[in-house]
This record gives sequence, C-alpha cells and structure tokens, in this order.
Amino acid sequence: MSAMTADVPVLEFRNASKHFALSRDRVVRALDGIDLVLEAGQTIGVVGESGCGKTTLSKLALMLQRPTGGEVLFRDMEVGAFGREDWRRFRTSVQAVFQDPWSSLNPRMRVIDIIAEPLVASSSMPRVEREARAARLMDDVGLPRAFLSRFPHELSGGQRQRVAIARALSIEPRLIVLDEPVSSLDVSIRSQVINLLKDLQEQRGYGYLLIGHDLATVAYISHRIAVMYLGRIVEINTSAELISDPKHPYTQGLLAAHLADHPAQRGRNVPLGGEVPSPLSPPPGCHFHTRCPKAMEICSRVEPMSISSGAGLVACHLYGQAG
Amino acid sequence: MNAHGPSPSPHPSARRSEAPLLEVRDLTVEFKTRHGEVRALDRVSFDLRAGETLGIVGESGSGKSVTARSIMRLLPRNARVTGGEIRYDGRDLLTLSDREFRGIRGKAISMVLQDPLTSLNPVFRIGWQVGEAVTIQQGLRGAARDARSVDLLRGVNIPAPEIRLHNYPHEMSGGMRQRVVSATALAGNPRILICDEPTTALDATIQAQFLNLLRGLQEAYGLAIIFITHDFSVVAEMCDRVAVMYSGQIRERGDVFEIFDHPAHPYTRALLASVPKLGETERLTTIPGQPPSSANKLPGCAFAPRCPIADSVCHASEPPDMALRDDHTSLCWRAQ
Repeated sequence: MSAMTADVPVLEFRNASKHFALSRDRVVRALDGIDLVLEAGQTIGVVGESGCGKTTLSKLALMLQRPTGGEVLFRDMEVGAFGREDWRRFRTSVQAVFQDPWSSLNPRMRVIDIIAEPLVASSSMPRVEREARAARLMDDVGLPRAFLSRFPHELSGGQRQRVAIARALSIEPRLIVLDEPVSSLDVSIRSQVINLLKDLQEQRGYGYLLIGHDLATVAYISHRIAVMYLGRIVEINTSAELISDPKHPYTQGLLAAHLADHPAQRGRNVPLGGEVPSPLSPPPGCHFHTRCPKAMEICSRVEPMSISSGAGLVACHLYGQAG
Repeated sequence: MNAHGPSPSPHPSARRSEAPLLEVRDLTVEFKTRHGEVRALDRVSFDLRAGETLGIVGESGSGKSVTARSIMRLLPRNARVTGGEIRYDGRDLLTLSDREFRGIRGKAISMVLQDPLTSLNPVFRIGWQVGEAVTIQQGLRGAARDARSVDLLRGVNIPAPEIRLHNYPHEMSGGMRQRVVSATALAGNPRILICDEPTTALDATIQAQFLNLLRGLQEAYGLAIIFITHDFSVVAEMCDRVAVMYSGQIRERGDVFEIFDHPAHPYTRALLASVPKLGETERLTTIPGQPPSSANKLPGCAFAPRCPIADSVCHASEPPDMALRDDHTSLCWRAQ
C-alpha cells in the first residue's frame, strides 16, 4: 500500500453548495455554504432531521454529484479539475457503506465476488490474490471464511452489513462514507458493527464521514459532529463538547429529543416543537428561527455567521457579540 | 361507547390493586411454513393493568409483533393460535366469533402500526379515513361525523384540523400522518392501545413529540398502552412495566426500574449494555452470534448459544420461569 500522508485532509468542503432548480423560480437549496474538513484517521458525524441535507452531503463526498457552488476537495484536489488518472485514484481510495444491506449487495453474486469486485475494477490483481484478499477481509470483519461461497440471501442483516464493510475495505480506502450504517440492524448486532468500525479505523487510519440520526451512536463513533439544518451547518464541534455544552438552540433541541437512558430521567426534556420547513422556501435569516425558543428580532432578518466557540463553530446570533 | 360503559372493576382509578384489564396466558402461535410448523410464540403470559404502559421489547423475530397481532386478530393466514387465552373483561377473546370480535377491535382495543404511510390509504383524503373510523366505531354520519373527526384531529394536536381533513396522506409529514393514525385508532374510545413501533420511522425530534402526545392521550383517555419496541430508551421514557422477548418467549418481566437497575436475564443485561449512552465512551458490550431462526429449535434455553454464563444445564433443558422480587420473573436457570 502507498504511504499515508497524514497532513493532507482526506476530504474538504469549501463553501460548497448544491442547488437543484425545479423550475425557473423554484430552487431547492439542499446545501448552502458548507465548510468541512475531514482529516485522515478521523470521523466526522453529520446529524440533523430528514431533509436537512445529510444525504446530499454524502453524495457530494462520493463525487456522485458536483457542487453548484464552492469546491469539494479530495486530498487537496478539486473535483472539477480531476483528470482521468485522478478519477482512477479517487475511485480506488473512496468507498461507501449504506444503510440497507438488503439492497446494497447484488443478490446474484457470491460473497467472494462482492468483496473482490472493487479490486477487479481498480487493479490488475490476479484472481488468486484477490480471493486470498477476500478471505483475509472476512477475518477482519469477523465472518467465517465458509461464507465466501454464499449468496447474500443466505446471510442475516448483520452479516450482510459486514460483507458491505469488507467490500469497502478491499481496496484499502482513505475515505469511507457511512450512511446510517447500523440503523437497519438489530440492537444486539449494532454494537458488533460499531466496535468493528472503530477498531478498523484505529488500525488502518481510515477517514469516516458518518451520516446518522441517533445522536448517542454518532457521538460514540465520531471525533467531531456537524449539526445540519436546512442545508447549512449550524454548529460543529468535538463530540464531547457538542454533547456536554451544545451552543446552538437546534443542537440543544436535538439533544432534548434524545430519549432517557434510564426511567429515572423520563420526561425531563421538552422536545423541540414543529417540523423542518420545506427546503423550497426556507425561512429568511436564520433558517431555524421559526422553531427556535430563543429567537430574537434579528434572527428573521439576518443570516448568522459562523463564529468560533471552544473547539468548534456555531452560527447563531446569540453568540454574535460575545464571540 | 365502550369506555363509558359499566366498568368491570370497582376501583377504576387504583392502578396497582385492581384486576388486570387484559390477561394473556400461555399464548402459543404457530406458523405453517415450507419447513413445517414453526412456533412463533411459546407460552407467552402477561397482564396489562388499567392506565399503565407495558413495554414489550425484542429484536426482529422475537415474537413481539406476533403477540400484538394475535391480540388484534391480525395474524397472517398461515398463522394459528394453538394454545392459551387472551382474557379481556372476563371473556376469552380467542373464543369470540369474528362478528363478536368486531365489538372489541377499535372499541375496546385499538392499534397504531409502525409505518403511517402504509396504514393510511393514499387515495382517500384524511377526512374520509378518520370519518370512516368514526362511522364504524360510533355510528355517526354527516355533520356529526365531521365534527367528531375534527375533534379527534384536534385531540392529537394537528393544527387547523378543519383544513387538514381535505389533505391526502402524501401532503402530510410522517409525524402528522402518525397523529392521524392515532386519531383513527382513538375513534372508538378504546381502553387499550397497542403501539407497534409507532416511532421507528420518525426523526428523533418528531419521535419525542409523538411520545409526549401519547402520554397526554393516555392521561386524557385513561388508556392502557402496550408498547412494542426494539428500543430500550423508548421503554425508559414510556413504560411502567417491561417484558423482554427472545425467540418467541418472554425471557424477563418486571417493573421498569427493576429491569433497568437489576436486570436478571443475561440477554436483558447484554442488550442494555450494548446500546451507546449519550456522552459515554467505553467500549460497547456485544452479544456474540446471531438471533436464532425459529425453524431449527435446539433443546435447552434458546439464548444459551449466545449466553456468556450458560452451562451444561442451559444447553440441555429449557429453563423455568423463576420468580425474583415482587413482580419480577426471569426465564433463566442462572437468574438470581
């Protein structure tokens, strides 16, 4: 394997936007001015309600879609400037694990071929070597090698998700986009997969972009968390600081929605009211002001700038002067 | 109607002392499959008391939804109740004819399912669907039906219900749709509401709102709730008592505080320890192996192959239901 260069970020969003034009005057601003840096060996978790742009963000990270404004960089290279060789390098360095292991594995391929497929596509590795590699990957993800000759329908959900992870690891990627990797799994299987993802990162230094909705799980896996609301990052901080000292009222609302870990804590939180407004006509100023319990007059007029707060950034007028 | 009828209990408000509203005894359900008869529920027993919330927790295939569906008579065609009783109001519901059961379903016991998009008919307006329930459950028609529909929607905190009646399901958000489903479920003033993973498809914020609403409805209607879930934090948030299911059997049962503070069954203990808690960073406990498939039953305890403390007895013979403190039982040889 080529040497890891730790100083270059694996993935970087620079003021990146993605707007979808539905008609001349109807534009969905799925992403708006995203700044995000993912270093090698790190995990950034992205949280927010449905419709906040998490999935669009992951599509941009996978270069499945191009930004309509700003830049997305993979290891300091701007996607727009990718040549043939850059694309090849990109595709051999980035992988994804999706939520549903029932639809993300080809039902007509055996496990061995599923895991080795990225190697076929990206290298001229001889078949014998590929298959030996697939067998080692089965060990890595804790599946018996006997499963190599099975088809996906012969495996349980947790086993399938391990196959999906093994496939992602086959080419020793630098970046893995994890889109809700455990939400479709049974509770007793989730912790197996979560521990596996953490161990693999520690051993091999993968960068993870983790899309999730359960704050406790995302915080457990991630070094930093970006909180998204209607296409914007409203707060980003280390997991520990974001959980213990959330600044943005939306982050506070998400934390309040987290249910009790013990019956003694029940009913202690007032959940955030309302729902995410349509991204077709987001509220002016701070998008969140319509649901914000601390909204001020300025919030409906002026979009707040991101200012630094502890180890992170927050975009909220409450901290405008103090920052 | 039913809720206003004579109460079977002399102390409808006393929660602990009165006779249970619903008694399930040794309920056994079998499915006919290509591989022969498969036992999906094996001698499941529990009580539901008036006004309380009972959580039934389990993973996929544990039998929690089959339990709910057997009570509601919504089992698929290849399933059959082969033993046990479901007693409500002094009667065994399993002995009622389909016609008699119509007086129970929706009126005495009602249900909210996981996915509000599939429990609502996409081609009818909300008003029609809520109105249908009002007509069936209460015999109201015309203006009286519409007025009652608006009341029901208002009761589940749907803003501007008069306008919402004209919406189709796709014009509403998931959270709003689940409220509509709940309004429909409450049309017959039931005393028992069975919720089968009602918040699994919802965002965390909307889930919290819905659970809050459910608490309010429980108070307002004096509902007893059976909450089917895979999520222990929903149990912590909502339930008074808990039954933990694994492989078609209730493995452990007890007061919610008792279960969280002194879980006796190794499966319950492992499940509680395998969920990340907000802000904690210790390595998660895992449960090795996979949930069993009910097709090939081994002798002994069904959890034994994955159990960290199983010994030869556990692998050889089925554990008894051990009574622990108070109301707390555990189906385990090693329970203390």
